[in-house]
Amino acid sequence: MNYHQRILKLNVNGHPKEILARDADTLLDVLRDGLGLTGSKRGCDLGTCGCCTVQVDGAPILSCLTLACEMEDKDIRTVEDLAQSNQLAPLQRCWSEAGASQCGFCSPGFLMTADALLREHPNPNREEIKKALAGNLCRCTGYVKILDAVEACAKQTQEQAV
Amino acid sequence: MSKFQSSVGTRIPLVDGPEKVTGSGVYIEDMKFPGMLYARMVRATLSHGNVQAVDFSAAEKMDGYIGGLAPGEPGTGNRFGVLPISEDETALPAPRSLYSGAIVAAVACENERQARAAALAVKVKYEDLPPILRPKDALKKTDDPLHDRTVGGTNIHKSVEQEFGDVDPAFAKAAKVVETECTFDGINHGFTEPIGCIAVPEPNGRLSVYSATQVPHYLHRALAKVLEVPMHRIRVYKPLVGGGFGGKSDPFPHEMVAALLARKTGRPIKIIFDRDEVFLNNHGRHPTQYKLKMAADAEGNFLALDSDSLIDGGAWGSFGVVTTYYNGVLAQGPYRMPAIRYRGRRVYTNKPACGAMRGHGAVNARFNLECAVDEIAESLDMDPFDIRAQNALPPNTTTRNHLRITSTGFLECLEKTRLASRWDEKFRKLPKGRGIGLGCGFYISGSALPIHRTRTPQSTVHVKIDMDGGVTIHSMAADIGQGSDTMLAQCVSEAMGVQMDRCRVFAKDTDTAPLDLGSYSSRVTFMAGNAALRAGEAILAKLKRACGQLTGHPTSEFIRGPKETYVLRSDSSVSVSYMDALTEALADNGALVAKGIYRAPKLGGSFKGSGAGLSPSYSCQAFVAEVEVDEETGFIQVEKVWAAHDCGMALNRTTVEGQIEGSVHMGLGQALSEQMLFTSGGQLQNPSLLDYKILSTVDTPEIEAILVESNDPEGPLGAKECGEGALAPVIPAVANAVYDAVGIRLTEVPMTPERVLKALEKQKKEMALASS
Amino acid sequence: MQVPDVQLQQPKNLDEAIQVSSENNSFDWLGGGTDLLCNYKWGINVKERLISLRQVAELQGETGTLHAGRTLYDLEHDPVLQENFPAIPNAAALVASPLIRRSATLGGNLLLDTRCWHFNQTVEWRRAHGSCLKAEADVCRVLPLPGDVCVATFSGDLAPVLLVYGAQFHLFGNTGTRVVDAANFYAEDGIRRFTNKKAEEILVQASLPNDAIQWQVSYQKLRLRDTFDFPEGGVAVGLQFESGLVKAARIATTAYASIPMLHPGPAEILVGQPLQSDVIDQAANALMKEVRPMKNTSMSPAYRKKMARVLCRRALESCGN
Repeated sequence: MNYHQRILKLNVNGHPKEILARDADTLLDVLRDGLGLTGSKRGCDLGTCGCCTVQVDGAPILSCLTLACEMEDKDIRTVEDLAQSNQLAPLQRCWSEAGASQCGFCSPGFLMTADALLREHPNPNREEIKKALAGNLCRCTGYVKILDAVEACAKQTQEQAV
Repeated sequence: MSKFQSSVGTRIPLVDGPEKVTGSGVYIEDMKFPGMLYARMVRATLSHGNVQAVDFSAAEKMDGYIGGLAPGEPGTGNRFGVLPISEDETALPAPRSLYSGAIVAAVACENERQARAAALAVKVKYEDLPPILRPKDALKKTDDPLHDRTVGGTNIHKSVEQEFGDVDPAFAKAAKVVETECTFDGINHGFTEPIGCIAVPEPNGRLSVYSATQVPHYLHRALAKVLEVPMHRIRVYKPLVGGGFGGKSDPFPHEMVAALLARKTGRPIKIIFDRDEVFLNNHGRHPTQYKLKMAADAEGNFLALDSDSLIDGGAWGSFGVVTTYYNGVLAQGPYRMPAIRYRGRRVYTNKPACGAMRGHGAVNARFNLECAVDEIAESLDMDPFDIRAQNALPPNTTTRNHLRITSTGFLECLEKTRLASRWDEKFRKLPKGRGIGLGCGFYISGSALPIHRTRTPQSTVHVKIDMDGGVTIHSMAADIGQGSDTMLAQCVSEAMGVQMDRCRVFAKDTDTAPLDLGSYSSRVTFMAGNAALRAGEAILAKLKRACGQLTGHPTSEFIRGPKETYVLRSDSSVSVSYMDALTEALADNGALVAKGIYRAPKLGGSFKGSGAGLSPSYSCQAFVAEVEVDEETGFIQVEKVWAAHDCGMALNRTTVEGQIEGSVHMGLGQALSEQMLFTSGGQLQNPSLLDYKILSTVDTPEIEAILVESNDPEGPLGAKECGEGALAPVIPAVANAVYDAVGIRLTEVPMTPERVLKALEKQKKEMALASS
Repeated sequence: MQVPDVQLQQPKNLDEAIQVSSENNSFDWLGGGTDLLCNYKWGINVKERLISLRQVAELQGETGTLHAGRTLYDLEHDPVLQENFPAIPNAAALVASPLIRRSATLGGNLLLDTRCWHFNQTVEWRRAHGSCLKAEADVCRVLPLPGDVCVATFSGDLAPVLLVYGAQFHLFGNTGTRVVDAANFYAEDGIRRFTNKKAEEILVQASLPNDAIQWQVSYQKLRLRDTFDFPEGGVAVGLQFESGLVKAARIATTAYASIPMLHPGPAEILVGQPLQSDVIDQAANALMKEVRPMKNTSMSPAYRKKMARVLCRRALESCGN
């Protein structure tokens, strides 16, 4: 075998994982095929659709253009981590209620980007939401209900904070 | 509350929403099977050629290589295709390879890396053949047409000529005649989930094929044909599908390849396309050249329509025969048109095949028509809304070409859009560079005639209820994100008078679910929804009988009551709970089962092609777009789209709006930025989501969906289609808005900045000449 | 798609990076990877190793600096840069998409590989098409020129802005650090790309001269969508004013050639003049005449050439404010 591989220690969704990975494997490859976390999707594998978005140290990152071996000592979060103890996160509930998922394929990527946005900016306006989501493509919704869902979640959080 | 609370018109989240937002939903790429192999396609490096030899010798020596599939092997040359009248596809070239990037052979290896390496190591020898790349070349007679059954020794796949009424006399006496000639680039569906399938040979000799498909039934038929086995030896399973829009609505060569390789190797075969392969698979909107002539009298009444379309079908037939018809037969609705002539030709060329794409054939025709209507309106000094309202088809009528119109909310669409957009304050009144335009539309709720001439109902839905009180629904209606599973649950629960969350929908497996033709031509809500209602009503009848038995009151006197009860029509204090009624009904009977079917009524005339365009009901639309044109750069900025769509009845407001919003977004992409580009040698130049430009969040304007409900007499609870009709109107709305803004009529779609700038420059020159 | 089986090396500092680079096998430096990994997945000019710069301490920089390892996202939101050199975060904000910008680095954008639609395609596509000079073949598909010159287009957004500011690039190699003017850094050849950088040198940071803060700089980008897309043309202008007249002017373009470049001729037209529309038009027209875009991007060369005038004008007009 003339390829390079190593045992990788990754911190995924709060859990330490050890996995054999090639130097050439992307984070998306390792998450999906190595760790069985198939929530992150492969829409284009070239960074042009955003379906593979995960969070690395809180930032939304394209996992298809990130080498897994560069991700040790990082806090990696995938869509599987949004719901806790089988309870949907407020963002996920807003997403469902608003009709922001149709086919759902882009949803994990959008959710991770939107979640990162709301953590950094808890009260964005619609323009700011659009700009933050400009790296995620959706072909089903025309984005209308996606923007509605993020707005609704931000509003809900504001109201609960009061 | 003493009444049954209907769910119709409420907002219902998708029943599979939780799977989608948690990432736990299973799409084809997420699936794995023990012993599974990965197959990669070997693709043609030339636009047209006969495959002479395929050399696997280098691949065979590579790590992990298990097997390959070459032209000539059993099954690879068996013809299939979604339309029985044009089954011209084969899994592999037999021996003709028809476009650059076509599948020529395949390899299967233990893992994906090995498969990629092995595929690149396969050597193919071709006999070069001259490619046919331009539609006008495909019109010429040839010794060697691309397919067996073409028209008159040319590469014309299908030629349609229709005439209704007295067309020439109408033009002769018309006060106004307008001619438009427009060209349209090819468009790709651009769903975010790539195409893929897994073929799994079962130990008992059956074959299961899992595929991201809109049409499990057509796939099932094609597999049986290609593999030469009876259909019952094959099972098709549809997982969650990440969008289709007509790009997953054919049985495909790679599905046949997977099945043949599975049979050959005895192991599960997984094929997932890369994004560029999705583009090469295409089956998208046909590049089109469309000429249209329209006549009106001095009062603005439409007199005649004469149109001619030349559509570039690429390598295979796909749905193209239907597309050829739809380019003409749907063009005149929602208007009265006393005389219609249509000539349509679809040609084969050596490029990726075109097929059905959202709006199927009606989109490009609609652009021509709506721009022509605006021109006529302007020449008569009539408002675009007024002229359209004047010519609106009334309800309960038949068009000149035998389309039966039942419900039509067109006038209401016009009214609502006009008001919402504040049209009268803006039309021809906005400052130069800013404009507002109207575009209308008309579309089928499924084809009345099935493509296979059988007497099998087009949709069947099964319902089973057992002692746990849950409602199991089986259907092969393919949910591809439009929410058909949710619609089925809503229809059954509505009919039965129970909560929707009792329903569990199984619409994935041909072994267990009854036949449904699949998700295309916007048929599912109308047909499967009706079938679901009937199944629910049949169950209700059984429950009512049980109520009668329990209470001694007549069965027929029971109606659906509040909170899952059945009450006496005359005395709501006599009430039986669903569970009590169910327990009684199960006694001595066991599980309740019921079936609902739908078959479209017999419609239309008896002339050739009369089936095309027939539908049990039609949607209609009136859209307004407000734009700003940058006259220096040619960029069109769409500020907002108001989209009134007559959906008959909005069963689920959220999903109906979602379909309209998504359709508008897709239409805007075709209007502004999407185009499939080809090199001079016929290779697809931009098979990536970077170079094929789908609008992002920051490129998409505000879209206001306006629901109009004309209450269709035959639609389930009054509903009709909302999945496709809402795409076409936005494109001419933008074009007409551009005319309002800067006075140019665009005739090339997409209306890219460069094309707009050229038109503006031409206008400047013409104005300079005129004033000199 | 998959990245070919490369070896990944992850040096922790510049010395280690240079040392590792001197090993025998071929290599590419890996910054954010958002461009390089796409080409690697398409099997384009793949080397045996990728040497990642992600952990190299000296490249990380901090607020206000232009170290090569800083992400475009960081630049976009850098308050010090926004205060003093706003054209830089503004240009950073125009690159690609917000997700790409989280990983993409300044160094990666300044050293962005040139682009051409004959080149940036899958391996299967290139085989069918016959590949090109920049990849596996011997001929340029766009403009066969003598001497095997490649006309692939430079498509980075930050370079023209830094050229206008008069930036210098700090390179680190075997012999330590050296500083070169950004204006002399690039070579007008889509393959060779740099006159003034060796393959094994690392771009450590860009620095701005003392007078940079006096420039009013604006960058205008031509692209079809407001995200994702590379520039089809980009014009950066810089102006210094004195007594209501233009004291100094610089104009730089990107996506009009194989390099980002300064255009002294059109810039000169502005010097000593008030920034009025007739002067602006003159300069913009002169720029349009100079640029020679190649037929290797999405939009046509004719259109991109026409737009050079509009981009220049709009950039100048926004400088005047």
